[in-house]
This record gives sequence, C-alpha cells and structure tokens, in this order.
Amino acid sequence: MLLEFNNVTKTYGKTTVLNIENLSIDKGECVGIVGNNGAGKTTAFSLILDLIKASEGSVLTKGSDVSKTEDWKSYTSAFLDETFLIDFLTPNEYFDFVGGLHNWSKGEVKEFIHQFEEFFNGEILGVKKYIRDLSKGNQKKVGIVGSLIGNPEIIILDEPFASLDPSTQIRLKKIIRERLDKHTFLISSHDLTHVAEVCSRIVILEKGNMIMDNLKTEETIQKMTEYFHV
Amino acid sequence: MFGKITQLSIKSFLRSPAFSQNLSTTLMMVFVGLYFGLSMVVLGAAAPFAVEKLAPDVNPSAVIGKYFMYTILYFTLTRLIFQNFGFKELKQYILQPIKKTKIYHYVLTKTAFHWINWITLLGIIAYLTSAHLNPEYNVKVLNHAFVMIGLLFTSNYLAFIIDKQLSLNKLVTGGLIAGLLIINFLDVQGYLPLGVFFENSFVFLTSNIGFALIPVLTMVACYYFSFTILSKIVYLEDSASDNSITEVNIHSGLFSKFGRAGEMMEMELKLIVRNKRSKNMMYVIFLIFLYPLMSEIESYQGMGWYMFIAIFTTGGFALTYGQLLLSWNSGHFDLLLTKMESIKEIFRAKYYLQCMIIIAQTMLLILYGFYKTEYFLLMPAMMFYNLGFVLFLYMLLASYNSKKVDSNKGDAMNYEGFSVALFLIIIPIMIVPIVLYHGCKYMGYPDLGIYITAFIGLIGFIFHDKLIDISVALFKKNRYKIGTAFRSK
Repeated sequence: MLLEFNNVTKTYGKTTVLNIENLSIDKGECVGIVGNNGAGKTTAFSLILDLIKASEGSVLTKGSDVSKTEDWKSYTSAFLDETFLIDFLTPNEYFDFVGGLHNWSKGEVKEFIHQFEEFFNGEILGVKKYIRDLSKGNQKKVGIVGSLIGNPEIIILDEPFASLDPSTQIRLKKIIRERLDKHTFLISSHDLTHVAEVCSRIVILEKGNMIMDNLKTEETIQKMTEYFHV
Repeated sequence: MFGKITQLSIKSFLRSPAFSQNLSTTLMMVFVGLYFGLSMVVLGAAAPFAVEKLAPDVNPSAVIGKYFMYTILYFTLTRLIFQNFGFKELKQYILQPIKKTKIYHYVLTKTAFHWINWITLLGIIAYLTSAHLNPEYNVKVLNHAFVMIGLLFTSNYLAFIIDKQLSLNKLVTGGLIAGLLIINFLDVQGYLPLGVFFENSFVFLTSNIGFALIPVLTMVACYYFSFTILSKIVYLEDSASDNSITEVNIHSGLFSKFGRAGEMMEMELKLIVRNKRSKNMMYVIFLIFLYPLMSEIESYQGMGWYMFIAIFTTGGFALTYGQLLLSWNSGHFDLLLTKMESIKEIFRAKYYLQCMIIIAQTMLLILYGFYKTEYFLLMPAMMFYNLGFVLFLYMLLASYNSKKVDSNKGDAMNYEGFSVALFLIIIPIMIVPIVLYHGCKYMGYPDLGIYITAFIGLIGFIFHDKLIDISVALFKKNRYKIGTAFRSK
C-alpha cells in the first residue's frame, strides 16, 4: 500500500476536525476528495505532508510513519496554497529551484516545463515578474506545475480547479489524465464534476468523517449530487 | 470618517500576530519608546542650561538651532531608508464609499504620527518650556515653535515626496541621497561651512514672526505637493513594481559544491536583495561596517572596547540576518518542509551562506588594522567566535521558537518576528568574551582571553556539522509549533 491512514484523528481543543479510521490508497490511483468547507480535506493533506501532528493514529507512506522519517519527501509532492510558492522568484527561477532540489539540471527543467506551454497560455514562462506580482490564477498554475517537477510518485493538489478559468480547467484535467500512469494523485475539490472527470475513486468527507468511499465514476456524479442536495 | 479608519487601524495593530502573540516584546518596545521619549525630554529641557555652561560666550539658542537643523537633516535621511510610506491601507479604503481626497488626507496625516516625529516633538516642547520658564534665557518662544515644528514636518513630507519620486525615478533620488552624503562629508572635513549656514538661517528665521512663518508655509506647501503626488500615483503603485527584476547573477560553480544546500543558498541571496525588510537590513550592515571608526571618538578605549567592536562588526550579518534565521522563509516554509530532502539541508544552507558572508566581511574589516593595529588580530579572532559560537546560538534560538515575518514589509520599527529572547541573547554574546579578556588580563595574561575566545569559535567551526545536528534535532521537536506560527495570517 502506498498511502495509509491508520485511525487518524486531529482535534483542536474539544473539536475533532478529522477522524479517518482507515483509508488506503494504492499506487496508480487517482483519488478525488470531495467535501464542503470545513470537511477536513486540507487537514488530511497537511497530515500526509507532516505539516501538522495527528492527535492520534498515524499516516504511513510505503509502510513508514511520515512524522518519523523524511524518506517520503523524495517521492511526495504537493501544492496546497501560496506557502508552497516562493513569491520573490520569477516562475522560471522557481521551477529551476524546485528542479534543483530533485537534482535536475536547468536543461532538464526547461525541457520538462516546455510541455506545459499550452497550460501556461503564454503568461508564465519567460515573464519578467515575481510570482507575488502574478494573478491568483497564474500563481496557481506555477504551483501545480512545480509540484509535477521531479516526477514524484504521490502528488497532492488542494482545490486545483478553483480560481482557474474554464479553458485552463479543461487543460489541467487533460494534464492529469495524461499523467495517471506516472503518479498517484490526491485531489481535493468542492466541485463534484471536476474530480469525477479525472479521478477513478471518490472519497466524500463531511465534518471530518469519511462518509463514502470507492464510488465509481459512472454512478459517482448522481450519488454525489444526491448527497450534497440541499 | 477619520475616526472610523483610525479605529480600524488600531484594531489591525492590536489583532496582528506580532502584537497579540508576543506581549513581552510589545511591552519591551513600549519601554524602548518611553526611554527614547524621556531622553528627548531631558535633552530638550537641559539644552539651554548645558549650552550656557559649556560655552558661555556663544548665543545658546543659535547653537541649539544649528544642531536641531542637523538633526532634521539626518532624520530626513533616516526616514528615506526606514520610514514606511506604504499604501496598503489606502487600497482597502479606495473602493469604499469614502471621498478619495479624504483618504489621501488620512494617509498623509498618518505619516505625521511616526515615532521620529513623536520623539522630536517631545524634545521641542521640553526645550521651549524650559526656555520659557528660564527668564535669563531670552528667546522668542513662539517664533522658535513655528520654526522648529515647521521644519520637522517639512522634513516629514519632503521625505514622503522623495520616497514617492523614488518609486518613479530611482536615479534622481539616488543622486539626491548621494548629494546629501557628499555635503555632509565636506561639512565634516571643513570644506563647507554648513554649520555656520544652519546657525545663521536659524537666527534669521526666528528673528521675527514673519520669517518664522516661512518654515510653516514650506510645510504646508510640501503637504500639498505630497497630496498631488498621492492622487497621481495611487493607481501606478502596482505597475511601478512590475517592470523591474533584481537579477542575481552568481557564478553557478560557487554554490554547486554544496548540492541541494547550494540551491537554497542561491535562493536566500535572492530573498535578501528582493525583499524590502532584508534590503533595509543591508543599510544597517553598511552602517555597522563604519563602526570601527568610532574606536577613537568614543571615550572608552583599550582592548576590551576594540574587542566589542570586532565582535559587533564581523558579526554584523549574524546580528541582522541570523537573528531571524528561519523567519525570513515563513512565507514559503511549507514548501521547504516538504521539498527539501531533509531539514538539515535548510540549516546547512543558512550556516554556509552566513559563513561565506562573514568571512568576506572580515577580509574587508581586517583593513581597519592599518588604522588600529589591534584589529589585525581582533577581526579574524572574533570572526571565529561568530562562526563557531554566535551563529549556533541563533540557530538554537530559531529552532526553539520562530515568529512569522513578512520580509517585504520594511519599516524600521517593524519588530515583527522579534522576541525578547533575541534581544537578551546579545548580552551574553557581547559580555562573555570581554569578561574573559579582562579576567585573563587581571591574572597577568593580557591577550590570552582573545585567544580563548577565538579557540572556542574555532572548535565550534570545526564541529559545525555536529552542532547543526543538535539544532535540527531541536527544530524537529518544535516543527509543528513553528510551522503553525508561520502559517498564521
């Protein structure tokens, strides 16, 4: 098993924000995590990345506890929010920096980045602007592509479709679909249709609890729509 | 409207993480503020008597006027470097149904409440009160009040104008600052009688009420010029920053030896030159560089004093950058935590970068040896002390507790990220070597203390990898706490 949640709970004071008894993700899966605001999606991701400490239980990748080793860093990559961007670098410098951490040469980075030119829509590469001066949407594009550098086994994206324009959303889905054989994806969204289009497995979180798992695409949209119906 | 915005400003200050999570630092800053204020009051009140006593044959009010004008000149320069004339607030209100002109007036009025103005104003009031109560000291208090207050706020708005022109035309303002420095240098060297000019102007302006109104009118003129500039550039502020990228061209071979830590070192250098607060820090380091020139001017002399100067100057970078070691990266810390193969790489990168800069600085500082031969020994000796001891103290402190810093916010009185511990740690850093020196001297070995201090540093430097491991272990224990502090908005 590539990734496992073992009786993980996260509490702040008396409030439990996440409680996952068991969630196992295999290599090559694309898991969409869906839920309303405050469902615990970002908390779950932060636990996988060892950014916060689980109150109980443990998160394992390749069988070892993420809070006890640093091995997972070489094969796990993420873009959760702007704290994953370095705002005083230009996009190209940022890609070079991330590539350098994976021992990629500048040439390798350039070649890799080149394939996303359509996704960038001419607004990112070679632009003489710091990341902090880019629009929110463009910052997001930089972060998403940055997380793909180094061909990590696990890629975690938090709300990747939010604040992207419709064409870019379609392009992003295409990118993810094309890379399904290379990475294991964990993608959160509160937009049901986007994740249902790219992910083969959908997990629904509600107030920190796992409500549904293993929905298959054909029935997914209908079931989810029923669930979230007000 | 003014009341409402002011209320919001106070709220934003009270609710900022720097204030609410860090009461002890805030209290300390209040005390520092009180101390400065009180010093100015004492200075102002005592000035008439002191000048009369020290130089009975001169016109005391003219001499005080001269030094007041010097102070205003230096403060104008200080404001240009440190005062934050930002627009952040303006942007929040520009979309609200408030008249734009009112907002501009608010922004401009707010700059008048800067701490430089507060302390100067306290000094002026104390001086004039003391002059008024002393019947022998025959000055026209009202004229003096007009001139001094007029000059003070002229300086405030002049700095605003220059600062805003700077964002439009860097060359002109750079030239202006350079010009000021040259004038000052010529004055100190005696080629330009600036002091005489100041003294005469001050006497002239205070001689009658009509002339005394000139500085007040200048102040009003500067205010209105600031106002026009503000209304012109409020929409340009964003685009002005867009078209310039500070390039950092480093020979890639220099850092490649350090592997992943090298990538991080290059990134850190960019951080320093591209963010406001760290850029201001470079000015401070430059000033620290000039400190050895104080070796003679000060009334303290001798080896102990020189040793202090050597620790302070060779460690200038550690004292500024090193103090906020991890806080500089609080904006992208999650990336570093998840992407750097190991936490140790972060610490190694920061240690090596500081070492490189401290060694380079020391190579320059050694030249002070031609001015005072003691520095040939002291600069390298205290460099080792900084490399092997001081840097690790800061590293341990940072691993224990670090605060969030917005490195692109540049006011000098921005104490975001500081804690009382950071201030207090300076005391042992400075005192231990000096006590060691005097102890050894007392026992009859005058230079032994210097060698011991350097030796402690050398040992630390040799075993730096072990010491980094200790810091990393401490950091790992506190990583969730530090990460949460950095993530807080």
